[in-house]
Amino acid sequence: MTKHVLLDNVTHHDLKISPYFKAEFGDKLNTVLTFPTELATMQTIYPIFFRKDSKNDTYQLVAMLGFEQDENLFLNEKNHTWQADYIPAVVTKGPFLIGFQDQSKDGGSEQAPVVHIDMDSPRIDNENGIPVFLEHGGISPYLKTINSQLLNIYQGMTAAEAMINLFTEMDLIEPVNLEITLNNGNKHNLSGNYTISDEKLAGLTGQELDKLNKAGFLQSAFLIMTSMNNVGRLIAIKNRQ
Amino acid sequence: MNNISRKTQAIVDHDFAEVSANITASTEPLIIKGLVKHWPLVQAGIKSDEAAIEYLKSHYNGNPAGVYFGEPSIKGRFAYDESVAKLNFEIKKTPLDEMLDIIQQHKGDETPPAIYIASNKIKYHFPTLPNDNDLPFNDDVFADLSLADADLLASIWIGNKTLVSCHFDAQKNIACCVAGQRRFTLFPPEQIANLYPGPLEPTPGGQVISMVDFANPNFEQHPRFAQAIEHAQVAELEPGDALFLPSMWWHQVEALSPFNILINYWWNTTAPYLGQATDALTHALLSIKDCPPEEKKAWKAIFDYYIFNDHDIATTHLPEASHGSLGKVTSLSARQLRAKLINKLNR
Repeated sequence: MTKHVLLDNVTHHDLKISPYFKAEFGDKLNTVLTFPTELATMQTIYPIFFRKDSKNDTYQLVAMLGFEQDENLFLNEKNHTWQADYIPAVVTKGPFLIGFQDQSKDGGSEQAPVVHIDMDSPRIDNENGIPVFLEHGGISPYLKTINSQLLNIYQGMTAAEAMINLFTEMDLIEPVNLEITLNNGNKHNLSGNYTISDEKLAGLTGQELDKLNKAGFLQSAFLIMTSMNNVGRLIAIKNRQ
Repeated sequence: MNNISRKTQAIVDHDFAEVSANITASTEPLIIKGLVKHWPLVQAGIKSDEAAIEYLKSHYNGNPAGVYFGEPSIKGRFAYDESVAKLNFEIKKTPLDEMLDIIQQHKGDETPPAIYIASNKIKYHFPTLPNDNDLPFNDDVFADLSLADADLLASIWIGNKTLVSCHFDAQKNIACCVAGQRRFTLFPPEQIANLYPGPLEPTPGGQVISMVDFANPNFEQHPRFAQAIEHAQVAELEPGDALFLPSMWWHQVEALSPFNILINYWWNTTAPYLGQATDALTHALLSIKDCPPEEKKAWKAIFDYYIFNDHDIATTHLPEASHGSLGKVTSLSARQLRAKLINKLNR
């Protein structure tokens, strides 16, 4: 169940959000959506791949968090923390989401993005959580972070679509099969992941490279490729468990 | 209502082809007869309502707009229901050709529903209309401001017989009566208390309105309105006439014919980096209104000294290097003031 309402500092003046990450919040995920707008930070920690959306066969940009179903190697279930220097925007945004409000005036039709909250989210913890608003209704530092993460997602959705369209147009995306062997001898065969083909990237003409660069996605292509090294980090975490 | 005897001064014999500071420097409203009578839209309207509607439709780009719809019982007066907490009309997104047809369908009704669009930017719906129906402005109107900073905005108002309750706008205004007869009832800014302003929100059109029903004033409920009448003036406009309305003047606007169009021009008189005076009022509601009376009195003196007195009184006795925000606000000092306010307010 979800109950989305417009966030405001009168109705929600006592609202507090849990700072913790837990299985019951839905944090036991083995992948999360990510966006070009957070790619530079994300790729320092997480392996980034493309996955095919089962519904409409289009690519999505995702970060890998674990190798098995419901395995999030960054989630510490003992102290309910997320053990990484940066937590993906779709997770840090907590129970908040972007809504649109008709703010038309002077005869125009403007749909302005506004902050909504899911009042049925288990992350709401008015006893011990972090306050969303300051004592007299001002915007708390926590809400400022939420706002900037929502903006990352909002702008990132458009950017992701443009980026994937361009990569597809240039035929840069190829499947990658990962075979992982853990210290205990267990093997995982991971399929369904796609990445940027280094061969095809190297084979682009000067004109194509220029186009990719001007669109702002040449760097993204390299970041996605090199982020695959982070699979080693995931293996190391799993070996320690 | 009918005992307002003063008529707005009208400039009848003129060869004005544009709006110049001669007109807009006036501190009183002025009618400029026939200023836009040559517009093809005005000429079409003089021929017939149908011709004006046809002409409008030929420039319409199909975008819907928020159209005000009021029951016949409100008699065209967009205001509040009895609770004064809710408006007495609905706004529905409607294609404007449809709206024009609905107005025509009710043309013969004895008491038609009120149908109206208010203050819609012409460029949103009739982008090509200004090609042949535009009012030139001389640069001297905007004084020190660039045209971009003055943000000259052309808006269109279309409807049947409607009444926009008395309110003020913070911008200077040239309102051109394009089709139908229009009556403006005007009051100088200092008449505010005698006009019994309504709630700050909601409002029918973004501005606080007078709660007095001018057609049927209840002097028991609104005794001071009698004084407002003494200071009022009426501007009756024919198609093609323009009214210059100084900023901050209270005005009730009645569209008197079965079909009416008004096109108006608004522009700013202050630099865009300055804040909005209405925001200062909101801040004052938060910060001053509920202070003890003796403190409020003191703040009044302080505001008189810093804000409402002649610009220089707070600085003439100080060396220039020490003026800071007391001097003329620049785009840079505006940034500093803004940052300070944002930080102080967020708590």
